[in-house]
Amino acid sequence: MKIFLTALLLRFFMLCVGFLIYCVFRGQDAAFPWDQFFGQWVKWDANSYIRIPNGYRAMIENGDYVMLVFFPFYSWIIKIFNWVIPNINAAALTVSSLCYSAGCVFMYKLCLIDYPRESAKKAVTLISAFPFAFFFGSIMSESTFFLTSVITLYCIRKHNWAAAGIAGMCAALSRSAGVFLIFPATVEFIEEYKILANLKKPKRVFSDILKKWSFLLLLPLGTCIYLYINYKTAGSPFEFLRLEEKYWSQTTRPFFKTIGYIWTVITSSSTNVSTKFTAFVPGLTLPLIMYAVLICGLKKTRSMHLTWLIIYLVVNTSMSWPLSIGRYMLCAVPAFIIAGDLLRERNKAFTAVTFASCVLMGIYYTAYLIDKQVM
Amino acid sequence: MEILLEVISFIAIFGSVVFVILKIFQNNGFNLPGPIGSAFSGFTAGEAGPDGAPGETAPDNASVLSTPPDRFYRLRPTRLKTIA
Repeated sequence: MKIFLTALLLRFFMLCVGFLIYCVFRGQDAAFPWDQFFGQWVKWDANSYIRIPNGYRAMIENGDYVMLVFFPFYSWIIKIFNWVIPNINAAALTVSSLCYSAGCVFMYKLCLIDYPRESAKKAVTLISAFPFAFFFGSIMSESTFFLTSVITLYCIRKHNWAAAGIAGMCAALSRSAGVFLIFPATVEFIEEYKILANLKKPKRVFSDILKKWSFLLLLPLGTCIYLYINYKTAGSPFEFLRLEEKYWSQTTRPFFKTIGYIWTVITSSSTNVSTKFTAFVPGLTLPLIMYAVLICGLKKTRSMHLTWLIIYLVVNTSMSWPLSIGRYMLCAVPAFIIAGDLLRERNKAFTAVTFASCVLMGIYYTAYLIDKQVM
Repeated sequence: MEILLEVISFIAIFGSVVFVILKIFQNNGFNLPGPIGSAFSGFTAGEAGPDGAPGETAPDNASVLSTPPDRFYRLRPTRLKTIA
């Protein structure tokens, strides 16, 4: 409860800081710009997230249902909150803040299973102070995905397979990467029940798969629901892929090629410096930092966490137009767990990292609120 | 530089994948020989968390012996026997 309230208080503080930033940089009139400030959150993908509650057919562009590229779970929760909070922007911000706060609680509990309290506290602090952590309080699906993926990891670690399946299904409905949580779950399943060692006892292995692992099939079911929505709305289950390519220039590219490509964008003369530093420099440096954290944690981290981190990094950097990698790295939960443990007894290093992160968050938060290319 | 970054990314991810696969085999009782085996040994966080789940991999002897006595009740009897 203490963690939940602290996290909620942090979100409120960040909202106040956001208002201050907006007043300083954009307040041209004599009156306080409350309406403009709340309207300011409705940008980039947020436009779609607050329209999806009215149905995927609510917006058509050139005859295409363009909102189909966005996963529905966050918008469904917004719709529920919208019954209580009539202003949809306020409802969306409330959902984000509550999901982030609950996510911090489950992340803390997840860490406590394997690590000392100090590591858990530091892991939660690091993710909250991440340069793009302000997205946890914005109208984006980060906080929902953070909550659902952390609950899934927690249930996997507790070997509560049914709960892991349900939470995983919600994660798969929050973001495309969610379905891949089936891999860390399977790794934990294999290690816990010694599946590879017991292959000579097929009855036992089959029984374990049937009674426990089969719940994990709920994860792909989440993706199937999303594909069905595509089919029902536009006639093709893979309509979102066509739309991503047509409107967002987004196709797949090997993850290592993406990292190389970002370097060419940074060194090119066709992109302005502001965009380079808001979108592409974090898109290059943060994955490299994540790789370093991954390697440092190889020896001491559970295989399920390593598996999820590897898959998460690969999935979120395998794109042809990598504009939002900084935001995606925010939900690489195992990286923060590993970093929290690495810095457990290194208080000076922890303070330095947290301070640097907070300063960068201030810069990127300001850039986001004054319409720079932070998305 | 572009090639270098691609190579770094490739090695970091594929090296980690190989490490994790070997670790899973090691944790399933397939003992890898000598120093390679010890490099891929199971989850060995320096200190077990206070909220350990049932069935979690036991910490190594050194860390268990250094934990305060009130931690021991969390370990199942079979686990204690193994450690002893």
